[in-house]
Amino acid sequence: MSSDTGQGRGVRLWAGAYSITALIVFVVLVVLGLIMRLSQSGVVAVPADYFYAIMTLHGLGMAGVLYTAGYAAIWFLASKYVQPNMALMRFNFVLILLGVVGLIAATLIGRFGPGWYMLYPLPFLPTWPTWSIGLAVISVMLLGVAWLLGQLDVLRVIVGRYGLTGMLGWQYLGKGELREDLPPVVLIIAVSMIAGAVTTIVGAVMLMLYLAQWLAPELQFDALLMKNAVFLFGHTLVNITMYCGVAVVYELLPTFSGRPWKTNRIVALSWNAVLLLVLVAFFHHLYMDFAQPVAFQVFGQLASFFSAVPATVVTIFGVMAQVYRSGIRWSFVPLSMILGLTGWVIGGLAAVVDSTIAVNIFFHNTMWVPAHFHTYFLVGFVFILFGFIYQLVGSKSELMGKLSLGTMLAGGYGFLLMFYLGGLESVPRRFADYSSIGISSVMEFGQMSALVAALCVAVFIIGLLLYYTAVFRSLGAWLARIRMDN
Amino acid sequence: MMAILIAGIVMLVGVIAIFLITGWLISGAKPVESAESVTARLYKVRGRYFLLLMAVLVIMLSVTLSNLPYRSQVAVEPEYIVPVSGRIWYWEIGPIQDRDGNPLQAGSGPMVLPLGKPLEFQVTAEDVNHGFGVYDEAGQLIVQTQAMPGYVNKLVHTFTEPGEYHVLCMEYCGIAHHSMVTTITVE
Repeated sequence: MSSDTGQGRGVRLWAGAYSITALIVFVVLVVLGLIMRLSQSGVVAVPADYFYAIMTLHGLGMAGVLYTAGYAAIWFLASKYVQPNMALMRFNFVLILLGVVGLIAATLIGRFGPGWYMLYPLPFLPTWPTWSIGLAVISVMLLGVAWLLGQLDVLRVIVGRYGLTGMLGWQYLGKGELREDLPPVVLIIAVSMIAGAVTTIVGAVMLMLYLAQWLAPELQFDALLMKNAVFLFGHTLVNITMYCGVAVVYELLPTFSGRPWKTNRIVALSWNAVLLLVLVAFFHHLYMDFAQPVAFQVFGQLASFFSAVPATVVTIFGVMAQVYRSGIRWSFVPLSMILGLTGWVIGGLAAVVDSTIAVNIFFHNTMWVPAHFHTYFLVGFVFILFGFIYQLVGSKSELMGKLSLGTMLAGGYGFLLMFYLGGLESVPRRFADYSSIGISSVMEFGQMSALVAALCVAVFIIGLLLYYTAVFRSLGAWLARIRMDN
Repeated sequence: MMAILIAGIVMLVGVIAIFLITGWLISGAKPVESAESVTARLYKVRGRYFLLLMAVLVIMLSVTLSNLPYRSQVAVEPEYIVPVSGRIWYWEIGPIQDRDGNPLQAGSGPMVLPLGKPLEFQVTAEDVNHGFGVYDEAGQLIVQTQAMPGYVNKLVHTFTEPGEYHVLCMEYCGIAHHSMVTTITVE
C-alpha cells in the first residue's frame, strides 16, 4: 500500500502525519484513562475537579482523535479512486491542532469538566471559570468545522466521479447494466460521510446555541431537545468512526486474501439500510428520559436491533468469504483486522443487549455503557487502525507486531471484563470515587474492579509500546521511500 | 433480576461463540479453495443465518417491547405520588401524597414509603440533568429514570421488600456527582 496503489507523495505524507499524531495523542489519553481507574480504585487520590476534567478530556479526546484518524485512513484509501483536496487536509490539521490545544487548556488548566457529551445545561455550571466554557465550546466548534469540511470534501469528489445515487450503489438495486463498478470502500465512505455531515450540522447548530448562551447567560434552551441533538451528533460520530474502520477492512483484507471484495445488490442494500439505521439509533441514549415520546423510544430499539442485520449478514459473512480456505498468511495486518472486527461484533452484541429498553433500566449509566463502547474502540477500531498504520508505513517487524497484538489483546479484554462485571453489579459510571456511595457491595466491587482494570491497562500499555516501537522504527525507511518515489 | 441474568448469559455465550468463530477462521481450514466455491457455500449459510437472525430479533422485540416502563404503557394505577427533585448535589424527595394531592406524611422526618403500594415518582431537576437511581439493600439497581430540568418523568414502581434503599445520581452532574446520595425507607 505504498506507491503501487496509486496514492501520491502528499497523500501518503499527510495520511502519515495524521496517523502518527493520532498515535501520540492516543497513548496520552490512555494514560489519562489509567489515572481515572486508579483514582476509582482508591489507590491514587485525584481531586474530584481534576478527575472530571481528565474524564472530559479523555472522552472528548478519544472520540475526536479516533474519528480523525479514521477519517485520515478513509481519505487515504479514497485517494486511490478520487482526489480530495490536499490543501483542505493541511488546513484541517491546523484547525484540529488548535481545537485540541484549546481543549487541553480548558480542561487541565480551567478544570472544565462536564463530560465528553457536555450535556446541556451542565457546561454552564459556575463550577469552572467562564473562560474555560467559552474556550471549550470554541475548540469543539473548530474540530466540528474541520470534520464537516472534510466530510463535505470527500463527498464532493465521490459524487463527482460516481454520482449521487451511484455512490450509494443504487445501480445495483435495479436490473440495468453496470457502467462502472463501485468499490465497496467508496460505498461505505459515502454512507459514513453523509451520516457524518448531516449530524455534524446538527452538532454545529447546537454548539452555536452553546456559544450564544456563553455570551448571553440569560438564554435558556430546552434540555430534552438539546439532549437529542447532542446524541444525534455524538452517537453518529462514534458510529461512523467504526464504519471508517470497517471501510479499511473492506479495502485492505483482499490484498492479503487475494480474493476480490465487490459491491453487489446485497452489499448495496445493506449499507443503505445502515445509513437509515444510524440516524435513528441514537434514541437509545434517551430511554431513561420518560418524557421523550414513546414512539422515539421504540424507534431507538428497532434501529439498534436491526443494525445487527447488515453488520453481521454482510460484513461478517464478507470477511468469511475473504479468508475461509483462502490460504491467507496471517501476518500482523490481516490479524489486526480480523481481531478488530471481532471486537466490533462483541461491542455490538453488548450494545444490542443494552439497547433493549427492559434491560437498559438496569444498565443505563452503569459500567455496562463504557464496557460496550470501549469494546468497539479499544479492541475494535484501534486494532484496525493499528493494522492500517502498520501497512501505511510498511513496518516489517512481524514478531514484535504480533507480540504487541497479543499483549494488547490480553490487557484490553481484561480491562473490558471489569467494566462488564461492574455493569452486572450495578456499579455506576462516571464516579470520581466510590467511597461515599453508601452501599458497601457496590463500593467494594467498584474499587476492586477498577484496580484490576488499571493493572490490565498497564499490560495494554506495554503492548502499545511494543507496537509503537515497531511503527516508529519504520518511519525513517518510510520517509526515504516517499522521497525516492518523488 | 431476571433481565440482568439473561443479559449476562447472552453476553457470555455470545462472546464465546464469536471467539470460536474468529479462532476457526484464523486457524486456517484446509485445503485452499477458490473464492467462487467458498462464496457459493457461504451464501447458502448466510441465507439461513439471515432468516434465523430476523426470527430471533422479531421474537426478542415482541417480548421486550410489551414491557415498557413509560407511564402511558404501565397498566398499574399508582396509589401514591412521590415528588422527586434533583439539585446540585442533593435530592429532595416527598412529601408523599395521595392521588388528590393530600400529604400522607406529616412533618419533615425521614422519608418512609409504603410497602406493596404502586407509587408514582414524579422526577424533575432544578438546575442540570440528574439520574434518579434506586438501589436495594443488596446493592442492586432496581429502577431508574432521568431527572431533567423543565420535564417531569413519571416512574411507577411498587416496592415488594421492606428495608433501606439508596438513591444515587445516575447522570453525571458536576464535581460532587458521586456524593449525591440519599436513602429512603420502605415499610
